[in-house]
Amino acid sequence: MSFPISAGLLDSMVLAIVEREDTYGYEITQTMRKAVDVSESTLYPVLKRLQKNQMLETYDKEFMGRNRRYYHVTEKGQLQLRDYKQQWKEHKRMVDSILLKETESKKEEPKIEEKEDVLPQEA
Amino acid sequence: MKRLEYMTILRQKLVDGGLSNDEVNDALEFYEELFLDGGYENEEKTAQNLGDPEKLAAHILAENGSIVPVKPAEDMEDAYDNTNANAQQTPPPVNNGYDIAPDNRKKAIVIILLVTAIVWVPTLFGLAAGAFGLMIGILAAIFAIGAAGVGLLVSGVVSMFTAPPVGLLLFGTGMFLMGLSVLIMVPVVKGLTALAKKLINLIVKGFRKIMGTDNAKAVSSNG
Repeated sequence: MSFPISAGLLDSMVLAIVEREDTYGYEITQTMRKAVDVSESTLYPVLKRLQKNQMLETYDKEFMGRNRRYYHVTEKGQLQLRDYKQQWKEHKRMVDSILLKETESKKEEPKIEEKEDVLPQEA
Repeated sequence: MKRLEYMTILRQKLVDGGLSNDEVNDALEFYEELFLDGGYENEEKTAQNLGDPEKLAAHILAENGSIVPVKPAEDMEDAYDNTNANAQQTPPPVNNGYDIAPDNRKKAIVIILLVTAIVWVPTLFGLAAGAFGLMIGILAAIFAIGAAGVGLLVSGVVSMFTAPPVGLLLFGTGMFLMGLSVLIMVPVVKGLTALAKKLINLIVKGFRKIMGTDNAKAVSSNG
């Protein structure tokens, strides 16, 4: 895939995965990798960031004699995710309006969160 | 790259980057989990997916706001290579121990064995003879049971004509004893041969270990 994925998009995707069901690191990375070509290494900073911003909280669960860290979306995270989803719909519609010429174009600029680390895609 | 190698480099890099202990442990736990959940047999693949541990460390450090100039990679690689080289050198010393003076050692052992032969050759001989005697004794006892069985069988057949009940009793007992001896004989013979083989192997191996094959042959032909 040749479109880089912004940090904001990564955040929202991870939030969406965890919102469906509390889950753990490996599961999250596997789910992400099914959809987008992100390195497993980029997800720890994402999870960490979401925790720091109180969108996610963690708890440990024992699995085969070791701890597995589960992630859970907080209320704040849920609100943020709803916002992200809204933004994404708008963003997608705007891009499609040009790229796919499906809807009439609006003059509004699409709101995308462009954070400093836009992830380069690995071949 | 395997899990341990990857985690070692990652930890080193994070510590070098000045990340707090808690943060380092938190990150390491996360990646450790990925490796473990990925499965032992996929460690190489997991490492590949994670990419260069140094880049990963830099990424984590950047996220934590501690912008640390990435040290020249050579430093670390050298350090790593050294540890690796050490690790690879660990097994050989065992061989080195043997390599010091194998000939002298062998000779010394042979001389000691020859000098003490007066003591251990008769002892060994006695033990071997005793074991052999015991073996024969057991076999003979079992054989005797069988032979008694045959005898009873024959006398049973003979007395069948004069006193049928007695004849039947003797006949039955004879059959029983014959069966018994055969029944015991099979496992006992098997066990004894296995034991003897093991013993002989042990002795031969012992000799071969102590000295060369040639010496072992010489000594065993002496004994």
